[in-house]
This record gives sequence, structure tokens and C-alpha cells, in this order.
Amino acid sequence: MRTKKSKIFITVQVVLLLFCVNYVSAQKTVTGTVMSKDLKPIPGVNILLEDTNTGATTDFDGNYSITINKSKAFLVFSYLGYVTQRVAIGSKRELDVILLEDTEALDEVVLIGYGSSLKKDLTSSVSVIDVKDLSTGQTPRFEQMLTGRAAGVNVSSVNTEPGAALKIRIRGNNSLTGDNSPLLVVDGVLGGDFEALNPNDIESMQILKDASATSIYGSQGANGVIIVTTKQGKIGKLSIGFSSTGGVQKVRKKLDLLTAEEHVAILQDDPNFDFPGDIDGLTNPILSGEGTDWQDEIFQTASYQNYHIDVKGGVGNLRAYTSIDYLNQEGVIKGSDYKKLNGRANISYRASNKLTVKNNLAFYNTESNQVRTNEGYGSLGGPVTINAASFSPIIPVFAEDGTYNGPLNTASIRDNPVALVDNLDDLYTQNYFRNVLSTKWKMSKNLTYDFSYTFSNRTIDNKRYTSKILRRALNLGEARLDNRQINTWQLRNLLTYKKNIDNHNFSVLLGHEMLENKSFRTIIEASGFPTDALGYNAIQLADQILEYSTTDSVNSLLSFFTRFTYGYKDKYLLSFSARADGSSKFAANNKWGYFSAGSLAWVASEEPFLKENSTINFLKFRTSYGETGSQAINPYQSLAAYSLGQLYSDGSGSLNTNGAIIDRVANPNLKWETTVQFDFGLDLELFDGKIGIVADYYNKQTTDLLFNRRLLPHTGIADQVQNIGSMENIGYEFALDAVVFDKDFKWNTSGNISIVKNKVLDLGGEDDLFLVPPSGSRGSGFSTTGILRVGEPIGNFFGYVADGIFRSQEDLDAIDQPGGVIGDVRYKDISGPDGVPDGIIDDNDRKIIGNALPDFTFGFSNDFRYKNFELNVLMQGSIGFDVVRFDKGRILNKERFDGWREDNTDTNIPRNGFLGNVANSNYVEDASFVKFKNISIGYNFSTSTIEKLGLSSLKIYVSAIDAIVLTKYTGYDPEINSYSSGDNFQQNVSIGYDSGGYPGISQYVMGLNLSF
Amino acid sequence: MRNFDYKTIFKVLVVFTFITMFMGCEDFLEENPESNLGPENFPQSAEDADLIVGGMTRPLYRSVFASRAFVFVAGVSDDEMTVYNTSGDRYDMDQYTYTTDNIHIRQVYETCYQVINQANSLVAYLPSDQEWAKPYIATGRFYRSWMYSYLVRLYGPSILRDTPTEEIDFDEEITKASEEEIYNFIINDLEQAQNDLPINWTGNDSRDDGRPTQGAAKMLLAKMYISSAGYPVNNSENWVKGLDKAQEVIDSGVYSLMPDFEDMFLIANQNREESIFSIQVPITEGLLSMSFRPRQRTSGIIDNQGWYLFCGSEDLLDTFSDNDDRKEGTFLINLEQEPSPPANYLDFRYNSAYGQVPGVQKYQDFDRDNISDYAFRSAMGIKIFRYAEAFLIKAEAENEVNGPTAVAIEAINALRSRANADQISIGISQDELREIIHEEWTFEFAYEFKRRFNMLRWGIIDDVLSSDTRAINGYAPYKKYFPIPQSAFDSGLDPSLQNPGY
Repeated sequence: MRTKKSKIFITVQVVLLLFCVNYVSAQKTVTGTVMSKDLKPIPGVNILLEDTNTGATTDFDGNYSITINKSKAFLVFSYLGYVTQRVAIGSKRELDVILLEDTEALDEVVLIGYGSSLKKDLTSSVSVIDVKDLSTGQTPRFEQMLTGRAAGVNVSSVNTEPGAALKIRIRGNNSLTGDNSPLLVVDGVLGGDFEALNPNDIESMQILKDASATSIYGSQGANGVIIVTTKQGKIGKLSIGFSSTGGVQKVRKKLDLLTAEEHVAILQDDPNFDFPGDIDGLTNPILSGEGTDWQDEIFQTASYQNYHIDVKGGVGNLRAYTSIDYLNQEGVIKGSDYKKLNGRANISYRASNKLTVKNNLAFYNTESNQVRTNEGYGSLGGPVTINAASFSPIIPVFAEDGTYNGPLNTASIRDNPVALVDNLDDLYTQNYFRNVLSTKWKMSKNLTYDFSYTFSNRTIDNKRYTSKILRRALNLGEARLDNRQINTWQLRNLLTYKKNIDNHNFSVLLGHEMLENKSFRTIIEASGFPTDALGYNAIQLADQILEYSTTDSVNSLLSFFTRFTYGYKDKYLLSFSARADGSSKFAANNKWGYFSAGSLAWVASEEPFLKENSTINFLKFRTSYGETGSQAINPYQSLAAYSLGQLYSDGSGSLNTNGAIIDRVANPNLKWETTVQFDFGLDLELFDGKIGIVADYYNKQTTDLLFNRRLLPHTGIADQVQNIGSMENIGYEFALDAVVFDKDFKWNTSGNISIVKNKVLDLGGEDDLFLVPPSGSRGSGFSTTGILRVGEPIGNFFGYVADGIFRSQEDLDAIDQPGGVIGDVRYKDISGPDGVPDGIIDDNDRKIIGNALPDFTFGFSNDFRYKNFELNVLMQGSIGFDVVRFDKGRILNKERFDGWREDNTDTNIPRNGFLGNVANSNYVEDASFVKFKNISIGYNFSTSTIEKLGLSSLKIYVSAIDAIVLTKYTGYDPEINSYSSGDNFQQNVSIGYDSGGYPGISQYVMGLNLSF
Repeated sequence: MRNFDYKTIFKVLVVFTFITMFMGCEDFLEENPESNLGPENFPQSAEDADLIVGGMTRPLYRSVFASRAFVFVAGVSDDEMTVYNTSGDRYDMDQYTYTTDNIHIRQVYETCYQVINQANSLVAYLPSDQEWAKPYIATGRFYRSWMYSYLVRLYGPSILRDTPTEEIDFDEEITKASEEEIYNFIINDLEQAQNDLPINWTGNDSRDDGRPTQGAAKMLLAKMYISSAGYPVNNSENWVKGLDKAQEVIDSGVYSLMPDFEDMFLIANQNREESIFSIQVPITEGLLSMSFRPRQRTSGIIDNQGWYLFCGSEDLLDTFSDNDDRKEGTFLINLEQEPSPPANYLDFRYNSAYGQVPGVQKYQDFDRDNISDYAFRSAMGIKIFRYAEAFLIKAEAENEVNGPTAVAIEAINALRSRANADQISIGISQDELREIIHEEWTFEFAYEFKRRFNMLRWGIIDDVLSSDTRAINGYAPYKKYFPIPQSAFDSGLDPSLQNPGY
């Protein structure tokens, strides 16, 4: 103890001594050049005299000059993409410095939960996304920057509508009813909004994957964490950046559908259709030639524009980064678009050597016109893409009197696709504002106190007017206004203590967080408009109110957490963290949850037997184990409640909309989902860092799954959220980075492969749980098309196995298939009531007929540079998964033409191409794909040209995004998930359904980046 | 001690004090829902109770009950109604080839219990000592009795719950009550409820607004008396109780027969003087009109096609005499549609399992010209009790208690005169009159969901369905009761509670 104390004392003395010496030092000027490893000057490097506000920036030739007013001082050289270097000045007056690129450096700093760590000291599994690599090619959404970039991180464009969110899954799905999206932490604040992040504003991005990394986020960490920091101004010359991107977007693939002539031929043969009697209602049929191409009628070539300006710089104690960005993206379906304006102002004020105050402000406004996609039929009138594929080509868009033509079957509720696009106004507007005020106080040499207060406000506003001419509006005109106001405040206190004593490094973190989230939602829906003229802008014109409701919701979270890390000689590393979370959402008996994790790492390359090895530069083995949680349920779920606003009639003709019905009973034990994860991984660097390899194995088990348990019917309550069941995800990840050539011709390649094996372990006593996706509106044979089964992964489709068609009476006699006739789909006799085939096709013959989870996913990126040219090719693949498309047998595809007929008996395609009136394997397709996410060619203008123009950098590029997709899938886009915007349960388990999604899009853009 | 850095310690203390400032509020994690009502604070008044009574009807008018499932379970499963479908759950209900996870069997079962739970909450949570609460408590009793009357006649012995579900106990031991116990429960509830209910809820206007009245409770009670007098309870003492109760309804003077049989089934007339109790359907939700509206076999015949899920039967059509107004009031033989020519039922629908059959006239109205408005929805509801039934119950009970008296025959003739049908003359035997009354139930109430229940209580269901052209494919005597749905067993119900045979 005595020794330790005296050491502390000595350290304190030394610090004080330095202080004194510094104070009396003299003034001098230091000059020098900053270069990269290949001895090329780096312009724009930020140089700061440590612990002061004195700074400088290198010029075009990498030269700098700085005035020093103390002797024993350090200069800090920093530049984006390079490792920051701290160099002692000593007595030198000239100081040349070589900066190492981030990727080459083992000393890279990585952000982790509530702190940072040197990459080499990490004990957990963290992927760093190199933001610099992403500067080519536009990415309107932040999530796209992650696509294919990191092992274990699967980003899929489940909805290609402009502005739609992408689905991110880190190491698979943990939860059935909870949100499986990762936690986003922006500038240290939890719960960021993906849409609020402008890719151009991002300085760094890291993904925390294993429990050791995420456990410190406790009940919010189970799905992995994405940590992002935004750009800050730098001391020195003012810099202005401008970038502009413009281009076109097209539907990548149209469906191959019948022509008018072909459809006429089919209708003439159809025994259930009286041709031409049944088209009497159509005044102007097209009976020959191509007919109406309904896809062309609703699709368009759409424009894309994005402009970004940022201004950054710093003087004295003040540094600032401000940006403004405008995006205008038309949709490839007429009438859809997305506009976004967002801005950011990051200001940092160094009040003293010990105290820094920062204020980060971000806002955005989006406006998006939507079209109806991804929905059932029923009274909804059908999604526009399905309607376009199923409206007969013999129908012209308009009748002779100028009104829209309806479908051939007059009892169908389906709307004319063009009418649907033209006469449904659906405007989705968001306004977002977030301000983060934070202070950093260096209380002593080793101790830092961080405080931050965040306020955010988000308004989501959806206005919709459905014209009287649309059947979906009951021919009455219908307006719906839906407004949500969400206010959140968060508070954070952190104490960080770091200390190095000889070969021992340790750090301790103590933290406290509070959060309160308040939302208020207002919905008004009314119908019966005498005129369409004013739409949703004059809802008082309506003659009846269908729905009106307001919902107030508040939830709060209170947390305490700690972390301890220890390293010995940079060789043996250890970390332990713990967090206590109290959440208002959970029941009285379970308000608090506790999460902890530990990890160990061994840097083998620091051991004597590898230290001098010329091949292996770095080798680290790490392992971790810990718990994280998920509290992703809505507030008040543990309390009994009536469901209000039920529609009923008292027989007088008017509607009553305020009925009440009990639909929830109390669950006093409701609590967190807990995910326990074990991870084992290694980091390896070979040949002077030219090859880097990261490999991981993990095993996750989520228990106490929040699940809507179906209750016994006699309780009169359909279901209740309970903590039942468990699920496991076992995964393997492998990532490789390699510098293939690094001379004049440079070639960097990086790739990653991820395998996740998901398995449902327990469903609270049930073996099978049939899922009822909205596909039910296609008929009673499609009511339970999915299944959750213990021992099987999520994402299974359930139905009959198609076995060709009935070709003859003998075929029909061979099996008892209700309603079967010659030319119909024949099903396989899998089983009977006794578990063996019984010659009867019934429910016993249904089985799992496909799965929507891939066997593996991969990303593969290649960067080529030659002189001023650069080429980037990014591929993303997902192999071994299925998509089900129940509309396949209903739309007017060409197969219909080759279906079984009296004169076309030698075929396996059923009569009329109709693939069966029950869910069966005919509807399931292998949707494996490889997408060329981005092929981009850029040109960087040479320094001489730039200088003439008075610029500091200038680059132009062209990109083709999603232009090439290799897949056998016959629908629009294999990544579709029609229920991606449903509730969480649908999003998580009803995956791989293509139910009239937005078509896949190819984008071709040109861009320009410049700064001065 | 001098080694300590007091300054830093002081700073840390300041920071801790600062942090603890935020922890002051103890109730930070408590939930105070501002937009939710729970059983602890609702209902507290008649106005509150009205919301629950209204909300309770929602599952009843939707496709899980009146707009679809109930029609399959209580209608298609009889020998009078047929379906359009040639396979699947709907077809199975007609053919008796259904399995235990048939969706319609499940939905009716679940809906009954859902309504029972709501009704139990009215009975349990309203203050029984307050005058305003009495009609609502009685309403709760009526609703649950009504639902149990379906359960006991469709599913047989059933689980009996008379308190609202407040907590979920998966270890609870669950047993079924016998038919007799359920009938006793229903009769006891209704005897308590009948006098607490108002004669009507709507003041002087006797219009049926979907809430149960004294008349509704008495009708259900009368029906339950005569039902328990038949199969399987066979408590013949209840015949006279049923007779008295039916007479009470007739004597109440509240209801009267509408002069025109066919017009009674128009939406505009559905809650008028003959209506005692019915399921009210919002105009934006009801699927019955569209489900009964014909499709065409060949083109140009029917202007506005329907789904034609539910169809009539040709055999039954032939049993109606031509001079009985109820023939045209019950069957859609010719679809009149100006300006197009009328369509004969031989032109209805194009995929028929059974050949061309007449439609059901009782559910054809949309109450407007343009049926595609409201996405083909209509306010067509289901009549649970209309006044005519009091006469039939009276006639049947009188015949059982006192024989083929003039009183019994007059009651029948009251209905026959309204329909301009031939009068029944006095002087027939009790058996003959019983036969006539059984037929009269069909002439008056075909497609109004009486037939299956009547067949059960008369003890003829096995004979009739075993020889019915459609039910013959799957019927067996154990199928007089439907199975407890598979979903209940999937949720953990003891498999031994399944009805025998399944």
C-alpha cells in the first residue's frame, strides 16, 4: 500500500512540476512537413499544441508552421483517416511527421459503450466501418453505408420505396415480439434515429456485436449497438465542402405478363368465363395486340438529386461544423417520392484546459408521398403493384366516357391501378429536432466527468385522402389524419478513471442515465365527402366519423452502470461490466433488471515466441460472456385495460364509435427478455498488416421471450404478453481485408461471410404455433401460411407440397383430394391422422415448405486505384433462402398461357396457371441473390488543377447502384419483406412474404465532391 | 493521508451530489396510463356501461360471428342451407367433413367466450345496490346466457365461467359442466334478469336497438325452457314454463306482427315492431347481404354480382306451397334488377357443387341502389328473436302440455294468415299437430338459424342429417355437437375434455 500511495504522490508532483515549467517557457516557431507513409505530403492536417488552443493546418504541400510558447510541449497531428500522432517538440524547430493510415494502424481508437479503447486492447467483438471508403456513391440512408460491410451485420432493403427504412440485424433475430433492430448511439446519446443521420456528417462508425461490448447498454443492448460520431470542426483554415449527386432510377425488372391477345385466347377457353358476354360492361376492350401494359402505366423513370454543403473550422477556443443537406428522390411508381432536408450544427467550446462544452444540434424534415403497396386485398382495394399485374391487358385505363375502367369481375374490390396512383393522396411528414448539450471536465489527470443532457422532439404526421372513385374508400371518399408528437429527454453522468502503472493499465467507469419518453397520438378518420376537391384539408366536409382517438403514452428508464478494464503489458486484457436498468414498462414485481458481462483477451503476438515473427504482426484471441436485455414492448402492457373506440351500431343508421371491450388482463410478472451470449474470436494481421483477418464464433440464447401467448378460449381473452419461450442463434463470422497491390496500381479487397443458425427452443409449452400473416385475405386456404415450431428456425412457410397436376381420371382416382379436377394442382399425400399417408389430402399433409432465413450472407468490396482514377465494386449476397408469393398464381403472367387445357395436356402448369387455392410449395421460390450494390468509377483531379481552380479537392464519379442482381427469383426483388412495416411480431416472424411490394430499383447517378 | 488529492475528492463529491439530485423522484418508474381505462376505474355509471354493452357487440357483428362464422356453424350445418364452395373449411361445414381446427367452429366458440367474459365483467364490476346499474347487470346476465345457449347447443357440455378473467392461471383445473347444469345456469340468470331489464331502452319508441329488453330475456327464457324440455335434458316440466313465458311476451303488448312477411327482411324494417332482439351491424362492416347475393353462371344475367357464399336449397323450395307468401319471402327465385331483365336462379353462380339452387331472399337487401358503395358492406343483421317465434313456442308448448287445442292451432294460424297460407283446421291429433308445428318452424324461420337447434332438441338430428344429401358425406351421431376447437388444446387444454368421437 505504501508503495502505491507514494507512486500516486510522485505522479501528482510530476504533473504539478510540468505545469510550473510550462508556465515560464519562452516562445518559438516550429515548422515542418506532414507526409503519408509513401512520403506524399498531406494537406489539411490539423496540428494542435497540446493543452492549448494554439493550432495550425498544413498547406497543399503538407507544410505547416506553428508558434510555440512553451518548451516541454507536444504537438498533436490529426487528420481524418489517419492515426493521430503526439510528438514531443523538445528543442526542435523543424519537425517532419509521417502519419499512418487508420487501416494500417493497430493503435486505432475505437469507440465502445461510454468510452473508447485502442483497437489492439479490445476484448470484445467490434466491427469498424471505414467511413472514408464510402465517400463514393450516394447513400441517402445511413443504413446503406453498412450494407455488406461488416460480418454479422445483415442489412436488407426489405422495402424499396423512396425513403423507406432498411432492416438491420446484428447476429440474427433475438426476439419474436420485440424490435430486433440494433441500438443506435449518436455522439454518445442512446436511441438515435436512423433517419436523422446524414451519411455525409458521419465521422466514424463502429458496431458492437458481442455481449461484452453491448452489455453496458443493458436492456437496450441485446440487438447489438451501432456507435456513430458526427464530424467536428478543426482548428485552422475554414473549409467548405460541397457535393452534389444526380441521376435516374428505374424499375430493374418488369414482370413478364400476358398481352391482350393472349388474354383473350385464355378467356375464350375458360369454361367459367363467357367470352365476350362477360366483358359486356367494358365499352372499349382491346382484343388484339399488346393491350394495356399496366406496369408501364404506373411505373416511371424517376429522378434523384442530393446536395450537401458543409462548413467547418475553428478559431481560438471555438470549433464548429455545420451542414445542410437536401435530398429529392422520386419513386419509380408514379406519385411516390421522398424529400428530406436535414442540417447539423456541432459546436465545441474549450472553456479552459480542463473544461470543454459541446453542443450538437440536428434536425430534419421529410415529406413523402406514398402509394399503396404491401397489403392484403379484402376491403383495401389491393396493393398497386398486384393490381397492375392482375388487371387484364384488354382493359384500357379509361372508359370511353373518361372514367376509370374497373376490373373484369365486377364483384372484385380491386381498384384500377392508375386510379389508385392518381387518386390516393398519402402524405407522410416528419419533423425531428435533437439537441445534445455535453460537458467534459478533466477533474484530475486520470479522472474525467462527462455530463450530457439531450432533448429531442419528433413529429410524425400522416395525412391520407382516398378519393370517392376508389372502392377502397367504399366509394365515399375517406380522410385519415394521424399525428404523433414524441418528446424525449435524456440525462447522463459519467465518471471515468484511467491509470497506467508500469505494465498495468486499468480503467474504471461509473455511470448514471435517465430517460423519459412521452408521446401523444391523434387519429381522425372520416368518410362521406360530397366532393374530392379539398381532400384531407377539409375533413369537416365528411358526413361521418369512422375513428377518432387520442393516445397518451409515457415511459421512463433509470440506469446505473459500471465497467472495469485491466491490461497487463498489452498482452493480457480483461474487462467486466454491469448495469442495472429500471423501466416503467415492466410490471410491479420486475421493475429492475441486472445485466453483466466479462471478457478476456490474449495478444499472442506480444509473446516472445511470436514477437519477432515477420509474417504474423498481430494475433489476438478473445472470448466473452454476458447478458443483455430487451424491453421492447409498449408501455402499460402489464396492466389490465379496455380497448376503447369500438365501432357498433344501435340500429338507427348512425355509427357509434365509442364502445369499450376488455382485451387485456394484468400480468404482474412481465419483465425483460434476456439474451446470454458467448463469443470466441481472433484478430490476425499478416505481412505488415496487408492482410487482416477477424473470425468469430458465438452462441446466443434469448430466454423469457416476450410473447403474445394465446390463452385458453374460455378465458375470453385472446392472448397476453408473457415471458415464455426461448430462442437460440449460433453464428460464425469471418472477415478478411487485404491490400493486394499498393504501388501505382492499388487494389484493396475486403470480404465477409456470416452464418447464423436460428432455432426456436421453447414456445411456452406449445410445439407449433401457426402464424396468420395478412395473406389470409387471399382466401381461407391461406390463413395459416407460416409456422413457429420448436426445434426449427423462425421464418418457416407452412402448407401442402405440390406434386404436379392431375392429368387424367386415373390421377384423380388415385387420391382423395377435395375439389380436385383434371388440370388442377395435385398435392402430395404426406401423412394422415395416424402419421402415415392415408390417400386423403387434408390438413395432415401440410408441412414446412420453405424458410426465409438465408444459409449464409456475404459482402465483398473491391477498391481499385490507378493514378487519379478509382473504381469501387461492392457486392452483397444472401444464399439459400425462400420467398413466398401468393399472388404468383393470380397475376396474369405468361405461364397462364401454357397452363393445362384440353388442347395442351402435356404440361405441368395447372389450368389457367392457378397454383392452388391453398398455401403450397408452388408459391415458394428460392430467392438467393447476389447484388452488385454499387459499381462506382471516380476521378480525383490532380493538385495542380485543383489549385488553379482555387479548390482543395475535387472529385467526380459515376455510380450504378443495384444495377445488376443475380437471382432466380421471379418476382420484383428477392429482398422483399411485405410485412416489414407491420408490428414487431410480423416483422420478426412473417419474413419472406412478397405481397405486392414496391419493385426493385436500379439507380444510375453522377456525383461531384469539392472543397475549398 | 497527505498523499490524498483532496481537490479531486471534493470534485467527485460535488458530482455525486449533482447526480443524486436527479434520483429524488421515487415514482419515476411508476406507470400512470392517461389514455387507458381499466377495471379498477370503469364502468362507474350508466353511460360507462353503455360503452361496454356497445363494445360487446363488436365481435358479434364481425365475420368471427354473425357476418360469417355463425352462419356456417348454425346455418350451413343444417339441412336447409348450402354453400357455394366446393372444398375447404366452408364446404366442410356443409358436408360434415370438418376437422377440429375448422376456422368457423373455432371462431364461434371463441367469440361466445369473449362475449361471456365482457358480460361477466358487467355483472361483477357494476354496483348491484345502485338502481342505475340494475339494467346493465341484467344485460350482462342476458348476454352470457345467450352465449351459453349457443355453446350448450353447438358444443354440448362446456366450461362454465361466471366471473371475469382477471389473472391467467395455467395450472387451474378445468372441468366441463353438463348440459343440464348449463341450462340451469342460463335459466337462473334469465329469471333474475328479466324484470331488471327495461321494456325498451329507447323511450316510447319500441325500436330494437340491439340491447336486451324484458321481451328479449323472456323470449330467450321461453326458448331455454322448451329446449331443456327436449334432448338431451328432457325435463318435460319445462314445457309449461315455456308456454307461460311465451304468453307473457304476447301479453306484453309491446310487439306485433308486421303485415308483410317479405318486407320485414328489408334493412329499413329490421328493427321495427316485430323485432324483439337482433344483432345490429354497422353499415361499414356487414357482409351478410354480399355473402347471400348471387353470382352468375353465364354473363349479363346479374348486374351486381355477389359472393354467393350462402345459398338456399331446391328441395326445401318445393316444400313451400305456392300460395304461401313465405315462399317468395324466403327464396330468391328470380332476381329482379331494373333495367336489366330478371335473372332466374338457374342462372346463379358458375361453380356449383350441387347444381343450381335458389338464393335466400331474407338477406338480399343492401338498402341502396349502388351496392358497391361501402365496399359492398351493408347494415343487414341477424334477427335473433322476432315476435312470430313467441307464437310458435306457444303453439308447440301448448300442444305438448294440453294437446292439439284451439289455442295451439290459433297461434299457428296467426302466422299463416299473415302469409296468406291455408289455415290449419281444428280436429287433428297431437302427433299430427306436432308434425305441422315442426314444418311451420321451417316455413316461418328457414335460414334464420333455428333449424339446427330445433333438430337437436326434437331428437331428430341424427335421422335427418344421416340422410341429408350433403351431410351424409361426413355425418355421424357424435357430430351433433361440434368439437372443442383444436386451438384450445394447442393452448394447453386437457385433451380428455374433447367431445366424444373427435
